[in-house]
Amino acid sequence: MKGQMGMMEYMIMTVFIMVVIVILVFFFSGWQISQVQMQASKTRSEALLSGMKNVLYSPLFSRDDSMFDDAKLSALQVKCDKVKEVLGADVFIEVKVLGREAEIPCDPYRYDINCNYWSICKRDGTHSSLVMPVNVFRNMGNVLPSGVLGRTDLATVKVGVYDAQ
Amino acid sequence: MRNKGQTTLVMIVIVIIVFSGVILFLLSLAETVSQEEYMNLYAHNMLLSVLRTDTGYLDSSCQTVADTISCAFLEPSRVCEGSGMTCRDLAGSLLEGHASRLEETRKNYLYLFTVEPTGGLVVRDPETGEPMVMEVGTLDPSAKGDVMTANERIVKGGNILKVQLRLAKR
Repeated sequence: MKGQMGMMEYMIMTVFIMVVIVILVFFFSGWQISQVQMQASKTRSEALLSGMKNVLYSPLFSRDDSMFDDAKLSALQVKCDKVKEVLGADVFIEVKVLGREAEIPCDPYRYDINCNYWSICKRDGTHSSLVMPVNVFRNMGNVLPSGVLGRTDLATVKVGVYDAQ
Repeated sequence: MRNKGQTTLVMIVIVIIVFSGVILFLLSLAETVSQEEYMNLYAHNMLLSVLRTDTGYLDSSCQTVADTISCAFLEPSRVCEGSGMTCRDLAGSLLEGHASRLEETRKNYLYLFTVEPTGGLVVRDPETGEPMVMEVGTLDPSAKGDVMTANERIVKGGNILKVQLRLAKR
């Protein structure tokens, strides 16, 4: 009788440990899968952040850190291949001057002080993006009888990466 | 003897569970790093961009937001030419206006701009006589915790103003 009780105790203990091990295996498998997904998302976030820093500090777009030059932005709208060389093939950039409701796209071939939106390498497709406050230097911001003065506007830049197809 | 064996087994199971929990906690902390880096970059860029923005007025004392803030502290009653407002009123309205425009793109952030003289300079509020500090924003000044802080200095005529932006998630 005592021997049977002892065996029962060992069996219950074994079952208990087996259940704990199975729960842990399921838990770790599920966690591992979510980790892989999170790692992919983290890698994407880091790539986006790195792309954003390249855009903010590159003289290709700006005249000073985080201050874009409107003439450069306009010209780059038709030089997507040049931008891809610097930032990578799946990157796009959008710059919007704040303060006006209507979005007026800037013409790459004609200077317009009233335009407020530049789009570089933008196409249809799912993507991830980051937004950052910046300035845009308008080369012909104030046209006075005495001459032409620049003007610094507040804007946002969106840097995005298209999902792999 | 048997009880001792069972206790040891239960202890082992508990140690495994606690150990797993600690690993999960540490790894979950690592995930927030890139988000924090983005928010930090956002705060610094927001402050710098707002300060550098032109006001649209050609008066040299209020040409940019930074000029207007320094005018608000050094010549508070001066009227900015073309605006009809004193530098002090204009500075507050510009900070609020620009921040609310940026808020439209990131609705989940609360912000607080704080401007105060530093380096021995004391400016008294003409109405209350208290040392002047400008605070503009939606974030509670006493908020603590996950708040990102960006600092800049405006130097004008030997005077230094400390401008701080505090940014927190809603």
